[in-house]
Amino acid sequence: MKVTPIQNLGQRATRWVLELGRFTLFTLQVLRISTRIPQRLRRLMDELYGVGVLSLAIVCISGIAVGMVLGLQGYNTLVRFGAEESLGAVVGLSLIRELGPVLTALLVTGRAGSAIAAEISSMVVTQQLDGLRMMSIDPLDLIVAPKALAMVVAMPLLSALFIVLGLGGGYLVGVFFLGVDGGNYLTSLEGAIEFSSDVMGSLIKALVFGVLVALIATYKGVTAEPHSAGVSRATTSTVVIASVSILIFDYFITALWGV
Amino acid sequence: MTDETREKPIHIEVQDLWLRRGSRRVFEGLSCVFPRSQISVVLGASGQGKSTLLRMIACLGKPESGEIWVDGETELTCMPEHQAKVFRRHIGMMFQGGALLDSMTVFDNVALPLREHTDMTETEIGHEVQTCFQSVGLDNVGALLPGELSGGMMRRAALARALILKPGILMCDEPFSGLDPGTVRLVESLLVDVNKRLGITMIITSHHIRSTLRMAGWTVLLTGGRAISSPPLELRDNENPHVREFFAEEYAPQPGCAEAKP
Amino acid sequence: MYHSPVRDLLVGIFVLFGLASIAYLSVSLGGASYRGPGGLELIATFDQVGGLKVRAQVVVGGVKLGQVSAITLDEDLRARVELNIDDQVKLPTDTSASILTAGMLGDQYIELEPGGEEEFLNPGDEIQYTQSALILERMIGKLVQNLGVDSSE
Repeated sequence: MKVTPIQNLGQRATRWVLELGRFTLFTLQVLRISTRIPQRLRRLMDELYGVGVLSLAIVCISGIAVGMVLGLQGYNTLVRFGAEESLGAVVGLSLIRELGPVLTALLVTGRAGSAIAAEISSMVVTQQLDGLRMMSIDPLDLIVAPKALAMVVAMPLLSALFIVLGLGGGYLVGVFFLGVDGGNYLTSLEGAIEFSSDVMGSLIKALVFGVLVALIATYKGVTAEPHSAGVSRATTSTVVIASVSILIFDYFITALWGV
Repeated sequence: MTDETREKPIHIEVQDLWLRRGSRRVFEGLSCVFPRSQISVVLGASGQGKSTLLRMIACLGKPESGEIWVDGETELTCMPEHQAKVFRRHIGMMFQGGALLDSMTVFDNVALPLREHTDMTETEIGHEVQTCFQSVGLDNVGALLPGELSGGMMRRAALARALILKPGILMCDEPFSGLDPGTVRLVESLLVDVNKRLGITMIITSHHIRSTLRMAGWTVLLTGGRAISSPPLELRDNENPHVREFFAEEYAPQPGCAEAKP
Repeated sequence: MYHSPVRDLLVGIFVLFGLASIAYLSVSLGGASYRGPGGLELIATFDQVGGLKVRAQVVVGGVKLGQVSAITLDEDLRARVELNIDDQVKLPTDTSASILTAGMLGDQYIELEPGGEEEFLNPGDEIQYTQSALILERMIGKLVQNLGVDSSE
């Protein structure tokens, strides 16, 4: 039976909605299991190493680099209005409100999110998850929840580190290379940043992004097809879907929070 | 299990299973039995559903229709999940390729069921795991990761993990796949030894006809979505065309390479 | 998993640095303080609040002491501004409140100038002396008008 383009579209839409439903059920299951996390602290610590510590290199280096670019670009723009002493404020606001949480989340998705999806999906292929079910151990409890929670905990921490290093990078470029006064950099920075509107919003964004990546990576891992192509598909779709979701949610949080 | 049940020669009875996967019929009225305390080997060409049958007995999948009875008392296909969880502790499963968690050491892998399902202290667990290691012929590998083990050692570790909770049924999915003939013999004698010592009902899926004929007390051949069960020697001499076809396939020398003697 | 003490140490350091960064951003830069916003609530009514927003700063002698917590219209159709200030501060009853602008185009804030009375304002009291915001456009309009008047004289 030949399927017309409209039927095809309809089928795809139905599949998409089904997938969303499955994802929601998965999320609820993970939430329920997460309440048992005190028994899994050992694994949580191990996963924090994998997600947090191993992402430090990329987050820190990128943070400094982005801060330096902001310093340079910010200076080039501000100097046209004679406002270069406000560089601190520009670098700070850009990093804290947007670039910190969003870039950190994208970097961590690429590094740790894909790693989580790959690990879990390869466990599906080698029947390790079946083995656990066979022993009446819930893979969500032993494997998924610790990884997901580690991601949620690590993301705000990494985002804050990114921002702080970015501020330093901006300082480096602005003060040492371009002659902005160090004191002015810091005062304009401090003057522009407000906890409740800027920093709080930034942390909330990081937290939400962490939850998104955690759930998408683990879901794609667990639902991977049990052959080697399944692993690569799980990994790539994690990165794609998580990245797009981060950017979309960024808009909504910015709009709702007024950050 | 009462003493009465211990006398029942049939441990597991599969009745009239039907299952379809996509457009393919996997089981079409499959019925067979597995005798108590014996090694039963499930034979069949690839794709006939050997692993699927094992999974259903382990309550990891449900058929479209049909029943599976254990000890004539417990029916598996209608079991709710929480009951199935308890039931599975009485079954040990050795997966093809081991399926040990590759992020944990061998010791931790074998200890996992104890840590999850019992209140034993770490010292007690240590003892139990060591005893289990010895009974499968493993020694000094506790600290290694599964990736660092040879094929034979990995099967032993998987076997240890399957036996650690002292199950009543042991299932092995293709325990000989990918092993050289010498190691096949080793694993075979290990399984026979375990069966003799523990009297545990074993269900093994395999392609290796020769080792099957050596070690099986009972064979079940899956073909055309149904099963033909009998003692192994009867199977070998069976005139049924499906059976002949299966044996012919398995014994046919591949063009260009000498037939390996398992 | 390698239950290595080195790894645990690294996780600990990571978490520590992360929390320290969050603390720096929140407290040092963002000015979040341990105590909630002040505690001393005062009212000030203005004819014109201009661009004053909720959460705008309330400043005494250049030092931030609190925030604007609400802006509403009272029965006389004047703007009623609620202030929330650090409750350790004692403000005399003749304190005055003005709405000023930070720089030419900056945000507006409220500056409180303490008076000389010996009695202090209590929670819920109203500040008697207020000065409304100066609207830049009106000032320019007036200036232009005055210039026009001057030149026609």
